Amino acid sequence: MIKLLTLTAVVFLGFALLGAARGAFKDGFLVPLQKVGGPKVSDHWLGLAFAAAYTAIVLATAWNLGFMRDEGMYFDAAKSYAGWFEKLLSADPAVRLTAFDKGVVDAHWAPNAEHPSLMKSGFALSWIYFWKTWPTGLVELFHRSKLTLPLAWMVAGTAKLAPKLFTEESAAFRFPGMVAGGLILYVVYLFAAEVGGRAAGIAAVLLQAALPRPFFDAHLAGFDAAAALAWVAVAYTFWRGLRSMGWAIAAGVVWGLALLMKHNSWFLPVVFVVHYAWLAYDVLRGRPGALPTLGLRVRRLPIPWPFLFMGMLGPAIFVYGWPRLWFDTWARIDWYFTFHAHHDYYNIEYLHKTYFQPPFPVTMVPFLVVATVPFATLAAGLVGIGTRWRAIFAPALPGRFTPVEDERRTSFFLVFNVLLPIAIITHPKVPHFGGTKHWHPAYPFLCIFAGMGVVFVATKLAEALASLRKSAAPRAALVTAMFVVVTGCVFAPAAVETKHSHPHGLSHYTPVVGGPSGGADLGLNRGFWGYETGAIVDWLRKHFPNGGRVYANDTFHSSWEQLRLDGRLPTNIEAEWWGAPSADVAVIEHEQHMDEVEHQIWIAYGTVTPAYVVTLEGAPTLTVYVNPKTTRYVP
Amino acid sequence: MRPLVQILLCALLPIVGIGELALAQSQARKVPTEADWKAAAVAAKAAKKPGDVVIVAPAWAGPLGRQGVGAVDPTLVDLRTVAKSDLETATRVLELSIRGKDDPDTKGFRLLDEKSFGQVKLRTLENPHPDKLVRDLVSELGPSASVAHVTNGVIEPCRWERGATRMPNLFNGPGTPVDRFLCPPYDPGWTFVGITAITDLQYTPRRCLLMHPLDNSSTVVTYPPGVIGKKVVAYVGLHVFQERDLAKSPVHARVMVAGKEVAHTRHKDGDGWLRFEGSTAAWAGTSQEVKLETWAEGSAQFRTACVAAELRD
Repeated sequence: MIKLLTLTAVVFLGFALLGAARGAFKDGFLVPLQKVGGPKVSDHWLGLAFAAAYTAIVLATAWNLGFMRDEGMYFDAAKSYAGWFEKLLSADPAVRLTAFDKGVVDAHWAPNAEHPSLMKSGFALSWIYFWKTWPTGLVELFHRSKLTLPLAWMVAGTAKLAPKLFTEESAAFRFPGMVAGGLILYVVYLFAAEVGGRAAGIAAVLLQAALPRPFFDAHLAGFDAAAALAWVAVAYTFWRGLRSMGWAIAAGVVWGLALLMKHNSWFLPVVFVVHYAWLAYDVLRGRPGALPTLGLRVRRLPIPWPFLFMGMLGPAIFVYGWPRLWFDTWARIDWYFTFHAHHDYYNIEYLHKTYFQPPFPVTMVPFLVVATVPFATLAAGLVGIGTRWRAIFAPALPGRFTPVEDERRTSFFLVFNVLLPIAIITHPKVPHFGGTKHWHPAYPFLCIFAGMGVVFVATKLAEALASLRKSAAPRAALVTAMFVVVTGCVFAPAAVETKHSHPHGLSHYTPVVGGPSGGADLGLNRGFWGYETGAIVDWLRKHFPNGGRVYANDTFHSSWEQLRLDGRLPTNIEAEWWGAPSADVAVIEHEQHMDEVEHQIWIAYGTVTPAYVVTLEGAPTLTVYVNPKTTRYVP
Repeated sequence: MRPLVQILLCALLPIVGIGELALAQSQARKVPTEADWKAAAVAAKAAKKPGDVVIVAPAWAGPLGRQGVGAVDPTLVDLRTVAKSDLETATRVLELSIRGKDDPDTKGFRLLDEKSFGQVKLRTLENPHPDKLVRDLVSELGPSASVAHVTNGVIEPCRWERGATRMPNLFNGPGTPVDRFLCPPYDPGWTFVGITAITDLQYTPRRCLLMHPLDNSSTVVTYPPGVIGKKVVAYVGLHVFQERDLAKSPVHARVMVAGKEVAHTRHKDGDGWLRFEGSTAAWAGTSQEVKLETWAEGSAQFRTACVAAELRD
């Protein structure tokens, strides 16, 4: 699959270049595409090339990343849902019909009912068709109709190139999440290119791709990359839908899919309502140069068609796309919302204190943004925001000071999408856990501003250099050179940090807070989700060649099992869930509230000396103790 | 704006990027290696004199330091030093330190020597006013002591036993040691009195004697007569999970010498690892019976009182 994705990226890039050669990019790289009729087909190829390349990189780097607690649960849920899909897509019509029976639906869709269906359906289908039955399952499926016959040929042809798509079963589960991570880049490119030009789009994509924490999330069979994709994709379609009926319909469909990804998509209308109110006020107020009457100004107001289609399509897609809601619909929807409205408070460490319940410090989220987003990216984002401050605050400023940016008040829209995901979690009573992932939907918008900030700085540099040489305007080559230099300078630290952070991304902190060791000094959360056991498989193989039992601390049993199913661990290395005393080796995954388990291990083993410590740039993420009584340890 | 000024302003963003890159590389280079830790441990072993304590700072680097020390000589660090209450009886401390950090318990100590081993420093620190340790009552717990629950004067003795260790896992209290007194209702999960390590309110490990009281009943450890110093320094704390919601009954801990109370404290949730002390000068140099006692003010449920006490001069 890695080769296929790389090939796909190259082909898409080739298409984009071919289009460029035929004049698709004749508007240049600095003109916002919304002013010249929107993105061209070649822009879509370019955006998709970024997406495919990123997905390939993520897939290629997943092999050494352990499995999160939640992934283990989603593997289990996906296998359960896969049973339903196998019925729904069975070759036997009688079996297909059973997929609509309440009993069958409930039996398969009961696990992990607190999260909607789309991503786990993706995990299930990827597992069935890309892993278990590749390629015969898809070939048989597509052979059933003449319409899909070409797809069957395509699959058969692809299978000749790639007889096996993944080297590990887990990669099949994780693949949809990786694609979601890649598609974020696609949408970011389109959005940034429309608002700030193609150069801004390219810079925004690079900076989004090099965010350490979202890069980590993109590897997972989870919802967080998908949630960020959902947010930015709905925002993009909504924004375009203010001008186009087709996009307004698309906004409804995409929002429906977003609701099927994760519950935070229910907050999106808040963004849109506030934005539209802001927009309406600014359009309707009297200001110098504005149309003379309110009636004329009302005609300038974009009709918010997306609201109509979001209202019509979103909830319907949510219900019809989630088989569990086909029966006892209201009761189950009520249960779903009640679950999230009363979500448990989990632990999170901040400045040496673990919080188990509200109120959480209001500084926590903003501080963690600074501590985890590469500083140059943040700085570029602030430059991008700064260059548009008048447009952002337009309705709050006297009309004579504020230029009319565009009829959609795009800058405010983007800023509000940066701020709201962060503001929601900043509220002291909203559960804070899971590191930074819950406000990752803000980052694509931040990176769009960062892309525009990079372009602004590069063009201003080029203008100044041209002035020094007494030229009226900088040549394109100079602007390009400045763009490359500035983008490179902002991208390089982010890329290096992302590379260094892998595969311990949840322990990563940026250099401005001292890196991972600085994070430990400050008492920031060192990690969570119990995935670090993935980092000791080589150590276990070496020191327990004849097998052994491992007390795996916070690792979920299905996550541990996946290490064995994938062949990373031999089957004779088993997990011991009851405690360290009966295990050959015990691990502690460093997270402040887990410290007590390490202290118990000292008592159980009578030693405080570890055998092995996993670190990220000097900060321990997992410590291994060997039971002095074991006879299986080979030093 | 003048072109030069514009260039300088615009150069700020690339400079920020280059600066961040340089900072990241510099921080990566400053990470101590396993060899650095081992070299410092070898030097610590060579420098160690009787009574010296080997520690690692900052606390989060403990696993790396202990791994390095353990590879050289695992006896250099043990539960007693890793889960210490303080360093007041240490005359010298050999501190394996990174990132310029010191153990807070060494505040006021004199720096005698500092050697660098890559990114690890071995700091030799002298305690200017060390206490002389007369008896460590935690270490002394053994079959020669007697342990009992006392309810309205009625004594219910506990039995000394060597059993299997137990690990309660997350949110359930400290581990059960192999050697312990087991008290009514004879549940090795929590009614033992033995040497363990609790995790205090700050998540710091503390080596101590678990002395869980029962409702309306105190837990008493009685040591046979032995030499007494000039003072007793004691600590009491509860397991973090049972203290952190700040909602349960206070517990009392006291030390008695020759039947007289010499130190007593009331520990309420939020106090963490609470120090209390008293003078034993009246009995200094004589041989006396010593008692440690804990009881709860209200319900004793989840009152995992753990006591560390030392007789000092």
